[in-house]
Formats: sequence, C-alpha cells, structure tokens
Amino acid sequence: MQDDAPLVAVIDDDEPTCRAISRLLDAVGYRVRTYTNPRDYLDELDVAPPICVLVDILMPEVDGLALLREMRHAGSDVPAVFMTGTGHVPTVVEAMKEGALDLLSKPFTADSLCAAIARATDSSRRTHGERRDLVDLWRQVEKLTPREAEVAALVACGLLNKHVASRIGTKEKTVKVHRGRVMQKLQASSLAELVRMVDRLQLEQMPFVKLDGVEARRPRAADIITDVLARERSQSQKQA
Amino acid sequence: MESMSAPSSHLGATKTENPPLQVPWSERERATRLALAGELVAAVTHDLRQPLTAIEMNLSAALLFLSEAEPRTDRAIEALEDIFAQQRRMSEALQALDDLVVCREPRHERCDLTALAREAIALIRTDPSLRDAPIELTVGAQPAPSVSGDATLIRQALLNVLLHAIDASGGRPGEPIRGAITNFEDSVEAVVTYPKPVEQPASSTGPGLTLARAVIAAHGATIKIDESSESTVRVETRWPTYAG
Repeated sequence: MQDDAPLVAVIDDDEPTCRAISRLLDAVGYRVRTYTNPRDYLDELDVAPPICVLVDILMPEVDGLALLREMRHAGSDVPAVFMTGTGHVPTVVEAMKEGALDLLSKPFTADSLCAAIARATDSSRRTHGERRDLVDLWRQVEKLTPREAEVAALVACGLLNKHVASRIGTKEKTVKVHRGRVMQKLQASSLAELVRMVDRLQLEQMPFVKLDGVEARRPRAADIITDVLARERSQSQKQA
Repeated sequence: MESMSAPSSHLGATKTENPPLQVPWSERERATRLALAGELVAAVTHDLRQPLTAIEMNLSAALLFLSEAEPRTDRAIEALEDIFAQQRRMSEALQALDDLVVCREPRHERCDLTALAREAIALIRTDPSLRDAPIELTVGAQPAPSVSGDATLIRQALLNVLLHAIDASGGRPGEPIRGAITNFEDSVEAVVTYPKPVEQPASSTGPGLTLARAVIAAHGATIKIDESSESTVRVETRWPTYAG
C-alpha cells in the first residue's frame, strides 16, 4: 500500500463488517482506518483527516447522523457516505438532509461501494482544490492596506479613478498609486481578474477554513472589500 | 378479553379462569406467533444484512488479492476465513427465527433472565423508530439465579411485554419504561412499569401480550397486570428458578 494513497475512514459498530470493508478498500488501493466507536473517530478528527468517511447510520451511543452533525460543528467537511441496514425512510431522508453524499443499503455490492467512495473522493479533491485557491487568495488580500482594500472594491465596482478619489476623499493621482499596488499585490493581470477575485471574496464569506488540518482565517482586508461592495450596491439601488 | 376495569389479573399455567391458556403449545398459540413474524422479520433481516455485507466485501477482496501480479494469498485466506464466520452468524440468526416460528415443545434449560432482558432491550434498539424509547433496567445487587425454560421464547415474551409497554404508553417524554429483575426464594421476578396513557386506557391484550402469556403459561410462570395505580401500569412476570 502506498503511503500517499487516499485515506478512507470506516465507522461501523459491527466489527466483522468494518474489517471486511477495510479489506476490500485495501485491495482496491485505499488506505483505511476503522472505528467501531464513533467517539474514537471524533477524538482523532484533526489527525490526518481522511478523504471521505463511510459511516453506518444505526450505531449505539452516537449514531451516524449525530456523528456527521458533530463533524460539521467541529469544522470538518469531509464527504460522508452512509450505510444503512434498514429501509427506515425518515432516517434515510434525514441522512440526505444532513448532507450525505451517498447512501448504501446493506447488503451492497463491492462495485457500488467502490463507486460511492470514488464519487466522495472526487468531491473531496474538488473541495480541497477550491479551498486551496481561496486560502491563496486570502494570503494575497492580506497584504492590502485598508485603503488599498477600499480602492480594490471600488475599482471592481467599475468606478473610474476620479470617482474612486471622490468616494474616499483623495486625489485621482493617489488612487492611481493605490490601484497599481492593488494589482501588484493581488497579482491581477487585468481588471477582469481583479473583479473575479473580489467576486470570490463576496461569494465565500466564511470566517475561516481548514486546509490539511490547519486553520486559515479570512483577512480583515477581505471584510473591508465586502463591506464597501455592500455599501456601493445599496447606494446604487437607492439611486435606481 | 380481560375486563379493563379489573385492577389486576393473574394468569398462569395452573389457573382455571382462562381456559385457552391451559392448552400447552396449541395451534392457536402458533398462529399468534406467526402473526408476530412481521415484527421479528425486521429484526432478523437486520441480523442478516450485516453478515451478507461482510461476505460480499470479503469475497470481492479475496478475488482481488488473488488476481494481483503477486497474489496476496495470506490476505485472501483471512478473507475466506471471515466468510465462514459470517456464514455461521447467518445460520444462527435463521435458527433463532426458526425456533420461534416452528411449532415445538419449549426446551427446559438453564436461562439467565437478566441477560435475556438485556437482549430484548438490545433488540428493540435495532429498530430505528424505537431506538430512543426510554427504557431503564434495574437489577438486584445479587445476580439473579437461573430460571428454567427456553431462552428464545422467554426473550421473545420479555420483548413483547416491552413492546406492549412502549405502544401503550405512547413514549411520553421524561417518563421512562422501567424494568426490574428481582430474586425470590423459588422464582425470579421481571417487572415492567410504564406510564398510564392519558387519552385511552392501556390495552392488556393484543397479539404481543397474548404470545407473552402463552409463553409464560407454557413455562409454569405467571403474569400479573396491575392497572390500579393512577399513573402507571405494572406488568409482573414470575419465572420458576432452575432446579437442575
């Protein structure tokens, strides 16, 4: 087994089932950690997070749904595939509402398990890539001064330099200098790219994200940008 | 049908006021058990799904291990050994169902009533709609002596009494169903106390309780339902201790 193979966590209170699933996933090339007690998984949440979790819904003490809620509460958004030994419809509906990526009804086939894990792995990688891009953007935005953040937002709104100058009470020449620094610090090659960056900050306003187990916080400059955008939008709505 | 106004009723194999129960293991009793098969199938199905899943995973894994360029035969053998274990597990689950549905005289063997009560509660927990049913079991400081009977049937009788209690009390929040196992000189008492329904009286009949009564009667045990309290209903069963 390669050390860099994707890690899957299997959580099922039935030890033989846990062992059998682990054996199959090992045979198809995953690394696997198994837990017969969901509490043990929660205790290790920050230790090498898996690429996805395979969880039995019906377990004593902490069931699969409660486990997923606790994971989300702790900031873990690892995709979850649920297993169920009953066709209890309300439980299944609740699982999907809680954000289960897939639901396997026992007994399931090896093919359906592998397909569900592959989907969860793809989803996890996509989310991880998007998160990495966001953290990279935050790192660049963090370099902006509060005044530069204001200029970045106003420029992204489509305002000309002279209008930006009047908004923030300075000279057009000073705005040009700020604008140049914004483009340089954000490594934006065009106005269109700056607009895309600002839009992303507007769209994803979570205060922090976890990347590879490390917490990254949204910088203050990002909040300034979204505040200015909100103010400008409100003003333009009033004028309209 | 028992009178709902009667404060209590005491039923046993030797009582004369309830003639149908004097017929040991009749076809009528078997029909009652079959009527409950639906409930049991749900529990047994759950018991079969787990090993079936494990067998499917182990078989697939074994095939993959053996088809690798350098076959991992040791891992494949482990998987095959686990398949045998799971097959035995399935056989036991089916045997348990068979014991219950097939008409036969009850066995008389040494049984641990406390363990059977715990198993009955665990069985209830396998049903998602009942898993949060507030059941509290109290056992005496001294281990209860063994009782004489058929473990599968006694467990089923206790399960039915508990299901009746859940059904009758309607799962009132904050008011648990209490189970207690107490030792007596020549018997062991298993009592289930549940909150009395507010809107309609608890029915002391129904297929579940009828089966429980039949099992109890066939074991020379007794059942007594006391509804005289304003707030609770008490179902008391007494089982003769194992004499060897």
